[in-house]
Amino acid sequence: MLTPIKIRKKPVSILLIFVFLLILASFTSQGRQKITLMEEMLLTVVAPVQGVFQRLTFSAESVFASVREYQLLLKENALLHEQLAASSTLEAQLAELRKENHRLRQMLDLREKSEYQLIASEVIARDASNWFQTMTINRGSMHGVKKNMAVVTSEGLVGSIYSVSHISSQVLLLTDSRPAVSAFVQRSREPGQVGVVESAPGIPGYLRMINLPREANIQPGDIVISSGLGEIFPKGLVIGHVLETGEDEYGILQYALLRPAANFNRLEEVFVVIPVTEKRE
Amino acid sequence: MGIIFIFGLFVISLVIQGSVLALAGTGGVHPDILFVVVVALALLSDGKRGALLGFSAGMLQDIVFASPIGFFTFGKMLAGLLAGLLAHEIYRDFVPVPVIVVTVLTVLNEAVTYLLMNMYFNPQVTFIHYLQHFSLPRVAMHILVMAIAYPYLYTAQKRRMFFHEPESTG
Repeated sequence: MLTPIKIRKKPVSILLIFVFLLILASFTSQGRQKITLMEEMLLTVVAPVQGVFQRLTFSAESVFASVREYQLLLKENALLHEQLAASSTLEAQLAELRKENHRLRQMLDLREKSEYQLIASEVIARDASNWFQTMTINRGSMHGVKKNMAVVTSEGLVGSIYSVSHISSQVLLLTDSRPAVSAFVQRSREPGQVGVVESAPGIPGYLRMINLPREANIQPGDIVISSGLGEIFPKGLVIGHVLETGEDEYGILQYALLRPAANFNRLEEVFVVIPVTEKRE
Repeated sequence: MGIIFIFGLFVISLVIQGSVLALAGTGGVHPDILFVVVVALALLSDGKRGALLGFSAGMLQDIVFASPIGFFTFGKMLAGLLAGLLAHEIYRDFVPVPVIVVTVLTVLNEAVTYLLMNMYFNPQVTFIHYLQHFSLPRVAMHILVMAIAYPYLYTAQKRRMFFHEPESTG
C-alpha cells in the first residue's frame, strides 16, 4: 500500500497556492508599473544566455538559408550580369533621382519623424507560447529604455516596451491580444475617422482596425498609421496595410483587416523610440 | 548542486523555446520543452517536489516572457503536482509510461491555459479550434520530446544529479 505523502495531508495549502496564482495573474494581466528586484535579477541572468542562443540560431538559419538559395542565386547572378551592362545609364539617372528625392524631402514637412530619437537593439528571445506575443531585446534601463516606449523597425511599428530590467527589456508586440493603438488612414487623414488597431482574433500575425465610422474613407491597399492619441505611440508610425474592410455585426461601424508593416516572423533588430519629452529632459 | 542543474535545465529549455523554436513564426505551434522537463523531473521525484518544480518553472516562464505572473505557473504547478503524485505508482524506467503521462497532462494543461485565457482575456478562439490547430500538434511534439529526453533525465537522476536525498514514497 502506498504511504501517504505530506502533500496529501496539506491539500489546503496547495489549494491556497493555486488560488494565490489566480489572483496574481488577475492583477498582472493588465500590465504592471514596475518589476520586482527578484525579476530584475532573474532577467539579468537569463538575458545574456538568450542573446547567445539567439545569435547562434540566426547564424545557423542564415547558413541553411544560403544553401537553400544557392541555385536561386546562380540564376540571379546570370540575370544581374545582363543587367550590369545597362547599369551605366541607370547610374546617371539614379544620381538625378537622388538629387530630386533630396529636394522633395526638404519640401516635405518631416519634422514629425526627425523628432524621434532611436535606440538600436537586438532581439534576443521570443515567447514561444501561442497565447502571448512578446520578445526580449538587449537594451534596458541602463541604455535609456523606459516602460511604454514604442518599438519600431524600418518597416513600421512593432509594439511597445512592457517591462524593463537593467540590461534587457520585454516588448509587447502589436500581434499580442493586450495592446491597442489609436490609428487613422494615411491617405485620408481625417481626424474624425480614428480607429483602434489590435490583434486580429483567430488570424495569428494579422491586425484588425475597429471602431471606424461606417462612412470612413478606407479601402484595401491603404496605409494605416498611428494617430498619436493615447500617448504611448508617437504620431505617424506605419502600422500596416489594409487587406479588406467590412461592417461590424450591428452594421454601425466599419472594421479593416490589416497586414502588419513589420515582418513579425523575422524580427532581428528593432529600434526603441524615445518620445520627444524624454529627449528634451 | 541539484538545484543548479535544475535551474540550468529550465533556463536552457526556455532559451531554446525563445530562440530556435520561435523561428516557426507567429502562429506556429511549438513544443513547450519546459513543460516536458517539469513533468519528467516530477515523475522522478514526488508530489511536493513536482509542485515546486512546476511552480519554479512556470514563474521563470512568466517573468522571462512577460506573461501575467501566475498564468503559466498555474498549469505547470498542477502538472508537476499530478506527475509527482503518480511518481511511485508507475514504472519509471519504462519510457512509454512518461510518454502517456505527458500526453494526458499536456491536454489538461492546454485546457487549463484556455480556461485562464478566457478568465483574463478574450481570445475569441473556440476550444475545439485551439485543440485541433495547436494542442494536438503540441501533444505529438511533447510525445517526441519526452521519448528523447526522458531516458537521459532518468539516467541523470540515477546518479542523483537532481535530487540528492533518498527518494520519498508517494
